Amino acid sequence: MVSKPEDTGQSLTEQAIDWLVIMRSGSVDAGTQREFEHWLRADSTHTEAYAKAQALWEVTTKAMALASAEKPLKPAVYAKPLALFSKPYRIAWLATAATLTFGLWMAWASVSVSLFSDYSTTVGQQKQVTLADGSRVFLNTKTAISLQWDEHQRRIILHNGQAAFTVAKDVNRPFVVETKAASVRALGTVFEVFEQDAGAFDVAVTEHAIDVSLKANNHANPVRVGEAEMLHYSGTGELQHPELTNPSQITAWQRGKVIFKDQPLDKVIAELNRYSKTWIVLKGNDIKQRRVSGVFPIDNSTILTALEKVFAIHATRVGPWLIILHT
Amino acid sequence: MTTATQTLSHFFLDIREELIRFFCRRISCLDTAEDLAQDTYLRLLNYDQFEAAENRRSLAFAVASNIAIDHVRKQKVRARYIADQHELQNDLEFMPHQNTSFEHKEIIEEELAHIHQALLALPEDNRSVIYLSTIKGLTYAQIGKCLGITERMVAKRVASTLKILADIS
Repeated sequence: MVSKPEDTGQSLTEQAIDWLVIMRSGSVDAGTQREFEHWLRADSTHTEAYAKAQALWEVTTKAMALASAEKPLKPAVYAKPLALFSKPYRIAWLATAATLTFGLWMAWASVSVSLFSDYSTTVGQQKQVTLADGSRVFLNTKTAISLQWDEHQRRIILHNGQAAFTVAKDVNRPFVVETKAASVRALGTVFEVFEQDAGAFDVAVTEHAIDVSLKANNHANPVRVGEAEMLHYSGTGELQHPELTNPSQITAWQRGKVIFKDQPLDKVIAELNRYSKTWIVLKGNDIKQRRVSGVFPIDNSTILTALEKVFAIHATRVGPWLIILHT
Repeated sequence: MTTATQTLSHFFLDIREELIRFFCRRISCLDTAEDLAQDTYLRLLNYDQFEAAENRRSLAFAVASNIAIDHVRKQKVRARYIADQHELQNDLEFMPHQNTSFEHKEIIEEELAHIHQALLALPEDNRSVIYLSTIKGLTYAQIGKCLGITERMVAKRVASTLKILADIS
């Protein structure tokens, strides 16, 4: 953790810079966040000073892009630290891991993504991070992202999972999120991307718009997804047209909720399993097709109790890792 | 489906509209009111004595009232956080760009040129941390690893560099 600014003897400009430096550190805990907000709200001169510090950061970013082109830095600066292994390394490491037993492989597969990503969450965890440019990312359960930024763009790789992005403006460096199959370009935006198996993904926009294009077909015109719209891609074929959606429904996970509107039970369970360390399975075809509607907390115990009562089904726990739902 | 559950479901369907209106008066958002009515139902499902309760209606509304209070409290905390974030973002993002007249642009161009020159004149150690933080978007922990210094050192170096640049601009 980075040390907090001390009020003693520092000018307001200096205090504001100290706070900005902390907020851009990439490791701000909730306590620090609160202290910062407290400082910021304490006086309007603080807000003003912070705005100036932020403007300074922006112009410094622009100036740095120019300066680094003119006067390159030591090679060590351009080499990636351990947490940012490039692709070939990752494949080599994974290949090594594949020679180990299957169990180890499974463990490694989940560890490796978080090891090689810059920000990640485990199953059931959610996390909010502020990036160096001031953009914010909200990571949902079992999600990993890496940053590949340079002078021309702010590229984010979504390795797996789901994340919501609130993008800070930088006209010189577009903000691009990449999934396996597509790249999503933000146009001053709040949006989210949900990477699924086999190249499938969902994107949804809560403010402004994004452009989505498939990597395999990058000469085609990108598809624009506007405010309160979402786009699902199945993993094959062309991108479809976006459809209208309810923003409060898409962002439900950010409020710790899941919303189902007349969904079959097996879909509901698949969604719950994303958040659950205990794997839930359904036994019997007839119960899979039962329809569920409702708003539930992400924590699965409430929803399981509700399902048990409403559908008169039973949950049998097999050790700490498995729950079987049956009639 | 058990009869107990059936009774509760029927009972709930009967008072659902009323519950939603109840929440609407307190929360004034239909979507949320519907969510909270659903929460009430879930809470009642988990309440074993519900069937035996004498006045189920008032019990349901007592539960609903607790849920509403809880919701408002949570919203306040959340709203403060979000509002801070949003307001911050808005205040801060637009403040320096409020005036984009030609004159203003010139001032910005001038500042950019000043800082550009200052960066070139700074020691490489200072430029490295600024480069890795602004352009590469790395965390201080990552920058530390990259340059072989502690996270704390990175923070100090970024701060001192920015303070120098603030003096110039």
